[in-house]
Amino acid sequence: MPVRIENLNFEYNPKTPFAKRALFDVTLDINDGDFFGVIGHTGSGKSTLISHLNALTRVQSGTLFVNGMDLSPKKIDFKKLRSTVGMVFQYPEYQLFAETVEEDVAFGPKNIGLSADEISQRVREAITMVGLDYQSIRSRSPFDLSGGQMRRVALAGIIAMRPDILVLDEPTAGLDPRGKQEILTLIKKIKQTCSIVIMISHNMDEVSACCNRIAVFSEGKVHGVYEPRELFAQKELLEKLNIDMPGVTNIASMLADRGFNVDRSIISEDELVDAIVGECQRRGLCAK
Amino acid sequence: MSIIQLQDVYFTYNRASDSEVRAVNGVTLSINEGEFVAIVGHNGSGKSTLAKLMNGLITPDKGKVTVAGLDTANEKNLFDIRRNVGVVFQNPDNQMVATIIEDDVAFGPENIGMPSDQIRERVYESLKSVGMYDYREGTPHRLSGGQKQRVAIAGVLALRPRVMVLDESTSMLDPRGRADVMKVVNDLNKKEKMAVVMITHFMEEAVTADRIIVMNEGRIYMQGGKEIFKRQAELESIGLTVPLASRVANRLREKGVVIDEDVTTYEELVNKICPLE
Amino acid sequence: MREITLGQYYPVRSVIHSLDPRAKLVLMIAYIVMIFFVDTFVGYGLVLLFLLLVIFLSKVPLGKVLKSLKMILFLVIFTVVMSVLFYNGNENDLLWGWGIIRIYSQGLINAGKMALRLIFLVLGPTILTFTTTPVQLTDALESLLKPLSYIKVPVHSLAMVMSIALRLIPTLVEETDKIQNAQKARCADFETGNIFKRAKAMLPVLIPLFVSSFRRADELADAMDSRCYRGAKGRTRMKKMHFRLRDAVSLLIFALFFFVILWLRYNFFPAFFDLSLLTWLV
Repeated sequence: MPVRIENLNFEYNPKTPFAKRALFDVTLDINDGDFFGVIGHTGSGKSTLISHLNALTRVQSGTLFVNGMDLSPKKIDFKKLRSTVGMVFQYPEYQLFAETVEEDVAFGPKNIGLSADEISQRVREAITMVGLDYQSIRSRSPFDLSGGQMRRVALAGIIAMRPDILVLDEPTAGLDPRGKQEILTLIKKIKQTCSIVIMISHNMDEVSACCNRIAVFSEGKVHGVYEPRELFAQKELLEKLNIDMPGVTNIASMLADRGFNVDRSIISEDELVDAIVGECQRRGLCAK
Repeated sequence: MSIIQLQDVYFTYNRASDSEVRAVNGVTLSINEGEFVAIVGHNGSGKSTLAKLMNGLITPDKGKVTVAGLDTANEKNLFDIRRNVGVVFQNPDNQMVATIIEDDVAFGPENIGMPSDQIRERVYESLKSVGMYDYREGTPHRLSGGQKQRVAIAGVLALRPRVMVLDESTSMLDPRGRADVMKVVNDLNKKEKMAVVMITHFMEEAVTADRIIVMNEGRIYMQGGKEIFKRQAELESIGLTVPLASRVANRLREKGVVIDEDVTTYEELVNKICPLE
Repeated sequence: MREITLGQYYPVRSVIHSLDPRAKLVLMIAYIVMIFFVDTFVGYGLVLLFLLLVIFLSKVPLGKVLKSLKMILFLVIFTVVMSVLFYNGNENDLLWGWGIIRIYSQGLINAGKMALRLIFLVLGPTILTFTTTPVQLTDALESLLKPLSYIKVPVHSLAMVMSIALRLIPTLVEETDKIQNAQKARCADFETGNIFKRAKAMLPVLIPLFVSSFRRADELADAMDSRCYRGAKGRTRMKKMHFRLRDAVSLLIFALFFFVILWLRYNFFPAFFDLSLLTWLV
C-alpha cells in the first residue's frame, strides 16, 4: 500500500520569533514497488518530510496517508504505524543500547508486543538477513563490534519489526568503500521483502544505481520527481539546483560536450565503457 | 628534508588483555617538508593509529617515532612536537572547545602563551584562509559539518604547524563539505607549502597526493604515485576501490582503447579519449 | 539550542555590555548584599530608579527584563499572602477581620517590602545574564578566584570544565533528541505508565547517550592535547578582560549609591542632616 502526501506544510516553532518554515505544499505519491530516492541539500526539508512518515513529526496542515492510514488526527495507532514504517536514521549504530546483540534487535518486536517465540524467530531471521552469523554474534555486546557490524545490527533491529515501508537516511555515511557496497547490496536484498524503500542520500552514484524514482527537494519544496536517467541527463537543471551528477554521467556529459557521441543519460559504469568503446571503434581509435 | 619519521613502529591497543588489537605492525615511513601524502586503507587497517602516533597521542610499543628530530616517547618533547604536527580529527563536533568560533580557533595559540594581539592576528588570518572569517563571532553549533571542519582546520593552522594530519576528516561530510575541505587543504599545501598527511578511504581524495601509502593489516601494502591505481585488482582485494576515472581507463585499456598514461581525474580521462583540438 | 548556550544573553552593544565581566560580577554580588540593607519604601524607590537607569543603559527592552520575573511570580504572591495572613499585629492597626483572618496595615506594609526585596533580588542576576555571556562569566569567575589556586584549588580546571560543558550542552541535547526519535521509531513508549515504568523506558536513550558522551570526551581530550593544551601553565588569552576607567567609575558610582542606602538606614550624621525628620516619607 502506498504513501500519499498532499499539500503538506510544516513550520518549526510556529508562532514564535524562531519560527522556521520547513515544508511548502509538498505533494508526493510513492507507490508500491518503488525504490524512492530523496535528494537535496542539507536543510532542504528531506528529513522533516521523512519524519512525518512515522509520525515523529506530526501533520500541521495538509494530508498524509501511509498504507491507507490517515496521519492527520491527533490520536493514531503509533505501534501499528511504526511497525509498518521502519526508520533507519543516520549513523543508526548510535542507538544501540542493550547488553547483547540479540536483546537489542529484539527491542522493537518486544515493544510491538509480539509473543516470545515470534520475537526470537524474527530476531534470528533479521540477524541472518543482514549477513551476520546468528550463533556467534547473538550474545556479544553490540559495543564490541566493528563499525560496519554495528550498523548491520542496528538495521537488523528495524528489519525484525518486518516493516512494509523502509526509510533510510544516508545509510552508507561514514563507511569505507567495501562497507558501503555491502550495505547497498543488503538494502537491495531487503527491498525484496518490503513494498517500498525510501532512501535519502547525498551520494548520486548510489541514488542512480538503486532508485527507480527520485524526488528533488529544494528549500522545502519538491522540485520534481524524476526517473534517474531523466534527471541526471539534465545538465542545466542540475547546475541550477546545485546537484552533482553521478560520476559516470558526469564523464559521459563531459565527453558529449566535446562532440563525442555518447548518451548523456548513462548511469552505469558498464554502459559508459561500452559506449566509449563503441564510439572509439567507429572513430578508429582502438588498437584492435 | 623529513619532518616526521617512523622507524619500524609497532602498536597494539589494549595490550595484554583479551581484546588485544594489533593496529600497526612494523611501519617505516617518513613525511617530508611540503609534501602531500595520502594514507589510504579500509576501516581497521591501522591508518588512524598512524595519525595518533605522529603527534605523540600514543607512543609505539616497539620502534621509534620522531618529529623534527624529537622522540615522541619523551614526554618533555610533546609540546614542541604538537606545535609542529597539527591534527584534524574525524568528528567535527568532538574537537571544538569554545562556544564562539574565534575563541575556538584561539585555543591553540593561547596554549602556547602567545600575546593576545598576536593571537587575534593569527586567528583572523587562519579563519580567512579557510573562508570562515565572516562567521567568527557565531557559535559552531549552527554550522554545517563542512564548515565545522574548516573551523577545526583553522584551529590547527593558528599554531602554524609544519605538518597537518587529517584523520578521516571528510568521512562524515556531505559531498559539498568534502569538496570545500579538500580545496582548503590543497591550497594550504600548494600555496603555503604546508606538508599534509591525508588519511582517508576515499580514493578520489588521494589522487592529488605526491605519494600514496596503502595500509592493510597494520602494514604498508603498497606505496607510490598515482601509477598504483593501475593495480586495481590488488586494491580491491583489500577492500579499496580505485578512482572512477582510473577504473574506467583500466577497463577501456582491457577492451583495446589506447590510453597510455595514468589517468585519475575525469578531466584527464576525457582529454585522453577526446583531446581538445 | 542557542538559548541554552547563551543563556538569555541579549546581543547588543551597550555600556553595560562592555563593562569588564569581573566588575559586573562583583557589582552584582554587592548589589545583592545591598538589597538586604534596604528597609524603607524610599530606599526601594531609589533602587528602582537605579535599576531603571541600568536597564536603560543596557539597551535591553524593559519588557524582556520584566518577563524574567514571571517565573518568580508565584513565589512573590505566595510570600505576600502568607506574610499578610500570619502577621500578628496591634489591634488598633487592624484593617479588616473575619474569623481568624485578620489583616493589619503593618502586615500589608511588611508584605509589600518583602515582595519588593524578592523582585529586586532576582532583577540583579537577570540584568547580569542579559548583558554577559556564560563564557564571559566563567572567565570572570576564573579570574576572580585565581588567588584560590595558591591554596591548590584547581580554579583553571574547574573553569575549563564549565566552559566545555557550555559548549557540549547543545550537542548533547540534540543527540538526546535523535536517540529518542530512533527508539520511538522502534515503538518505544516514553509517555505512558507510572514513574518507574517511564524511568525504565528512558534506559534505551540514556545508555547510548552515555556511551557517546564518553567517546566524545575521549576524542575531545585528544583534540585538546593535539592543540598543545597543558592546563593553566603558560596559557594566555586572546580576549583579555580589561579593567578600564569605565569599570572603575561604575564601581565608584555603585559604592556611593550603597553608601546612600546605608545612610538611609543608619542615619549616620544626625547632626548634619537628620533623616528621622523625613519619617513621614515612609
